[in-house]
Amino acid sequence: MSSLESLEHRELGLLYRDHHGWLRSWLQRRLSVPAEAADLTQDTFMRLLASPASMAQLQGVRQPRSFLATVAQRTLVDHIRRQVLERAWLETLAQQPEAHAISPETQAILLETIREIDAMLHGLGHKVRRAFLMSQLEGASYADIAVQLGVTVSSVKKYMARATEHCLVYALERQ
Amino acid sequence: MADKTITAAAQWYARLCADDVSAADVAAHGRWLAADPEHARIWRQVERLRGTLGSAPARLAADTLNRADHHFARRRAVLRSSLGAVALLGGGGVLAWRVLPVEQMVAGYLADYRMGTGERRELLLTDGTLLWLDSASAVDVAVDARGRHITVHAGEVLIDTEHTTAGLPPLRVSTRHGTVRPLGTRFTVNRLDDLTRVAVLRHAVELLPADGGAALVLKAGEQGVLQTAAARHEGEITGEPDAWTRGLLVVDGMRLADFVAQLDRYRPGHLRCDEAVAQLRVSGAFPIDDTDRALAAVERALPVRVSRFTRYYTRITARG
Repeated sequence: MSSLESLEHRELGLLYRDHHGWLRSWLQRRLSVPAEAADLTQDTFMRLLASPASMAQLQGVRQPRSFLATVAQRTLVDHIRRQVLERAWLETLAQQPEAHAISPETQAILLETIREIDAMLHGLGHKVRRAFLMSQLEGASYADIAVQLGVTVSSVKKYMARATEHCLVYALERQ
Repeated sequence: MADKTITAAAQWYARLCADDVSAADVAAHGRWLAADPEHARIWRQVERLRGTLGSAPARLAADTLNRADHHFARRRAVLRSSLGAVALLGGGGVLAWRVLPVEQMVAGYLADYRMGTGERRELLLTDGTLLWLDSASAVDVAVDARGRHITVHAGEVLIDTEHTTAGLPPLRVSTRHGTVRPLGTRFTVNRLDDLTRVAVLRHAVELLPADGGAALVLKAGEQGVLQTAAARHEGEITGEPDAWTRGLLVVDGMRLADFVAQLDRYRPGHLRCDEAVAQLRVSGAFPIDDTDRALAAVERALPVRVSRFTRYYTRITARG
């Protein structure tokens, strides 16, 4: 471990000691199930630890609580997104007459795939995402997409390239 | 991270998916792919991306994501008021997903495809070759120094090289039993446990047994069997070996046992028939996307009874 890294980890240790109680109550106020706040507090610190960029930012942060809150907000949003997806998945399954034919293992795998698709597209603008999905999943032609989104065909092509690049970067960063 | 190759691969993909993609685009993409191993490496990610998009049942994924976006939009309003001005949510548009019954996708020569039971797909490879994958089939497509290569690990595929770009290195189609060399053509390859069945619909193919036995040429209208030691003719094609690409199983005087083995591929669980009825003959066109209907038709036509023991086990026995 380099001296810089250990310095950052020491900073994080101090941050945890001084602010984790505050962060937990901050999260508690924003969760419908307050008991989840403890887990999310841990998740927030884990997220900091896993992100070299955030760790670097830690140096010289003047207002650690506002910095922590920013990271915690992202953790919270991800958490809610996961919950919402899971609930939506269960509702969708409940409406399938054949749902009982899907084994719990398969269900878990499918939900994970849906999460993956959702995560992959995260951060794309509305029209870009829409164009990509219309083309790739609805089988729409670029001409149809252009009409629906009120843009030119050449914009659709640019959106497609941008979305594909976004997904490629997402995948390559995770290798 | 967003280096030149990633940007280029994304632009290629956008071009290949366009309405007006031309043979020249496809050929140019092939050259780009071959120009640099880094291009091929990044393109493999494009294929993987397609795999992820295609691996969830699209209708369920569609419903789930639509519903989630709806819920999320509401939660987000609540969140926003509780967090103050938060611009961390990104994207968040309305997702609308739909499935195509048989999805055609543009695919390159660097990918693996696995179909689930009841799943079929039509692939347009970047060299212009059409590849249909039947229920429960598994193939790899690759390009190496010896040329283009499709390996069939399980199930049945239909290959049509009618519109393949000219002047490319040769195409080989292999199973563990040997290699099929197309001689400008449309043909099916069905990889079974101990043999591979090949039916030629146009032009001809050459069968090359894996252990180096004598090569055999099959012409249009003929079918043959490829085993590791030898290849042999199996006479004229009966029924329509490529009807599954249209959602049908078309047979003409097929033994019930063979018919059941065929239908089993499209049905979750097990479908079996008793020895006593195995030799009965079946003719007709049967829907493979609704195997219950196909079985009801068999029950009407033959002196048999279809018994469902569990959701996953169906047995055909003699009636009475």
